[in-house]
Amino acid sequence: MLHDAQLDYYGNHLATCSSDNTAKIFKVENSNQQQQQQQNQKLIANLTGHKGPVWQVAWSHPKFGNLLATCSYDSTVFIWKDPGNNGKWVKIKEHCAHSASVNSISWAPHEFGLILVCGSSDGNISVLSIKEDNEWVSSVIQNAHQIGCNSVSWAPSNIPGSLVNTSGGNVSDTMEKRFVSGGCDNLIKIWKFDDASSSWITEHTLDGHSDWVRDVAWAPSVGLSQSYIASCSQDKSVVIWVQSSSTSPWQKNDLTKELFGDVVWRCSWSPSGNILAVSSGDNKVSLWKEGIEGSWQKVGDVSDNN
Amino acid sequence: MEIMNRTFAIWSLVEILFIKENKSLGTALMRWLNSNFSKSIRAEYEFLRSKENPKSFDEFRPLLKQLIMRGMFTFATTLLSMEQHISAVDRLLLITLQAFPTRSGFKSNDEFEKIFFEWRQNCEYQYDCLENNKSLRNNEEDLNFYKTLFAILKGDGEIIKKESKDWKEALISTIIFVFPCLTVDNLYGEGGLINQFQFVTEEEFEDFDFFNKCLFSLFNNNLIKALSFSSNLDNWWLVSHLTDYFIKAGLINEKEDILPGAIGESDLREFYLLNYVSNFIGCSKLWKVCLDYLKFCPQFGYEYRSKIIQSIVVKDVEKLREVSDYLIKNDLTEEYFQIHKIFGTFLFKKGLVFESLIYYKEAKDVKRINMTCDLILENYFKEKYANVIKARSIFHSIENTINFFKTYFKTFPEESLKNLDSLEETDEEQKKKPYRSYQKKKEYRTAGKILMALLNSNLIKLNLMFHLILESVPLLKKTDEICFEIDEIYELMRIFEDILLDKSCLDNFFLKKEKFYENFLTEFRYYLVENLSRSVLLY
Repeated sequence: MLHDAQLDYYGNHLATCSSDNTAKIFKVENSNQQQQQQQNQKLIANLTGHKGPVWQVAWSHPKFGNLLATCSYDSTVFIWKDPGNNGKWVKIKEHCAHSASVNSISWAPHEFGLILVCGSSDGNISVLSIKEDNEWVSSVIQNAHQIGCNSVSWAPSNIPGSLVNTSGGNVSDTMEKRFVSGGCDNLIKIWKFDDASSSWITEHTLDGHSDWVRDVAWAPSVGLSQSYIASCSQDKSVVIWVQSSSTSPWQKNDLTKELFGDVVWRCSWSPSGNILAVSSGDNKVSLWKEGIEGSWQKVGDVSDNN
Repeated sequence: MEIMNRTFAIWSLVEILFIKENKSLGTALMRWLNSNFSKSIRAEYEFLRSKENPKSFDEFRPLLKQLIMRGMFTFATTLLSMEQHISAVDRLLLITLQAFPTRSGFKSNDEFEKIFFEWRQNCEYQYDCLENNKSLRNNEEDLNFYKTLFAILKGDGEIIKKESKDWKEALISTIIFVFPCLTVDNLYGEGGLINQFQFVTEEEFEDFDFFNKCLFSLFNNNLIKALSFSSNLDNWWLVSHLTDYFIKAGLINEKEDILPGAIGESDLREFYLLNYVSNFIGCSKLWKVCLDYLKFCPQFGYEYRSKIIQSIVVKDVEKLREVSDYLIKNDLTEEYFQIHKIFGTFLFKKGLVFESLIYYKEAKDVKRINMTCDLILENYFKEKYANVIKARSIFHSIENTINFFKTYFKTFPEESLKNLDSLEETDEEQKKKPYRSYQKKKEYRTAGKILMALLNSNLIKLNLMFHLILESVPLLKKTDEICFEIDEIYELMRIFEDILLDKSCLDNFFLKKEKFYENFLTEFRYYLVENLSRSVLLY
């Protein structure tokens, strides 16, 4: 069973992972043949080493080289590197901070450096980063979600509203390390790095689902004043959480009044943060967009034919 | 870690049963059970989740049953939905589990109860269907398994009890599926659920470990027993805090419920608190915590207080101030005296004899003050002033007389100062005039200041200094008033002994009256030391 598929920054490589304990990397090529666009995929690497199903893959920003992170049921996270010149992909880091399945991984915005956050069924979240001397360091947020953490997602690097803020100021002043996590305690938690204590603290806890939160996705920001987080759950609902300014509370907005037909497993924002893709257990993928008056409207379905 | 987990489990149960008002006792207990006692179940679940076809594993069915028993429906439905082709009976089970109503989804108990019983009726219907509809099962084994599952869901108390792995699971499953609207009051007592269903027999209870005995006693509202069992868990602060909480919340009565403890007339609560505190009495950094706790131990707390205060390491004035502030704030006067006595002794042993007097005075320790004064006196006569001076670094001559006047002698008139400067060196009597005028006016302290100023002013020649020193005798003899400050007495001592070194100054004065001379010296020194002791106590 295939669990995840991610294109890299330039859309040239596709990484997939599955229950066969492997992750695979395909080269994606576009070619115009007979005036009809076709895409060809060529398997270029088969990453083996995990001892359980691989749940997620995540590409790093290209400024750090071609790095791919994989997380697995075997409680580990591996980081792989493409040495270039068609060499073989090599594992450069084994992250073993968890005692149960690692369900989700997410690279931080590149402005913060090479930082990976990992959520696990042991209830903890670990943050793995690399120092200037190329040494990996990790910190663990203990008991972040009771029973388990299912999903993690980074906030954009810029503080909401920085684009429209005319007061100027240093760029680094408008950057804040934050990420969101969802777990089996039906909660969504927003974590913020506290410089004073050099640790991650809970900034907000959002309670809006009646069953496990399966996925959370922080919308990319172009610098507008509002922040959006989408969360989907075992309770068959999708919630859009909106924060109008960095100091205001998060408002809960249901994506639809009716529940979805089955458990909603994943949600994902388009790169510009204005379209949300939602996939559910009834084998449906739908696309949603916010209307002018603030309500969310379905703008399309994705099927095998699209 | 195990101790902490057990402590957490006990406290969270106390919170559910006695602290927090829960909309649904069943949901709260279900969460409690699954948060504290589901590690192995979760590990099994994770294992099966990682498989392509979990149903093909032997562990699947027992796990599914246990997940349902414990209300872990999300785990159960996740495993069930992993099949690529879900069978009809699994789909039925899946739909039933997904439709399970929880109290939080309803505004009132009545509304919830109505929907819950509808759901349970549907489970009963599905249970009956299993017998009749052959398409729902493949074989007898299948039939029995799914019948058991639906029997649990339809609230068959006997099946729940039989299929449970332990008493906690049985009790909580019964609440979830049989009595979903049960309140804490219906849990214990003669007609309560625990007695009615006999989840634990007396023999079984006897075989329990202390942890389970404690939990069961809490469920049974037998708080004294719970306290007693919790005291065997090697977590000394748990029982103290539990006792404290139960008493403050009025759940148990200190005088009536708690039996006299093992030590004297102290009650059990105080015994536990003292027991708790005694574990970190040795850690001087925790002295504040210790003393805070002992406030609530009226019977034996005072004895412990002294021990704790003695264990506080006070080696500097700053720490002494910190401790003193705490003691004053908490009206611990005796302890305040005690800590000053300890610090005084600490200084005394370091050779800082004079400083120790200050703290003995603060401790109102007359015995030690007398003892120290005697010692000073003895040393002074034995070694004269030299060693005393060495011990005290405060000894220094005041170079600038004018500044001295301005700084320390606020009442001294400017006129007198100018006159003093303008006088001829030979006119010694004139120089003494301001001093004598104050002495006549009985302003002895001012007179003393002027005398000291004159002695330090370099206006008086050395051979005439002795005359001036003699002027201090009436002031030193005064027992009802202190005329010299500590520094001034030291200065007098120094000048006096300096003069004695230059015997030529004295020859004219005493005219070889040796005996008189010796008596005078002894007497004068005595006055000096006596005044020094008094000054130390005053300033």
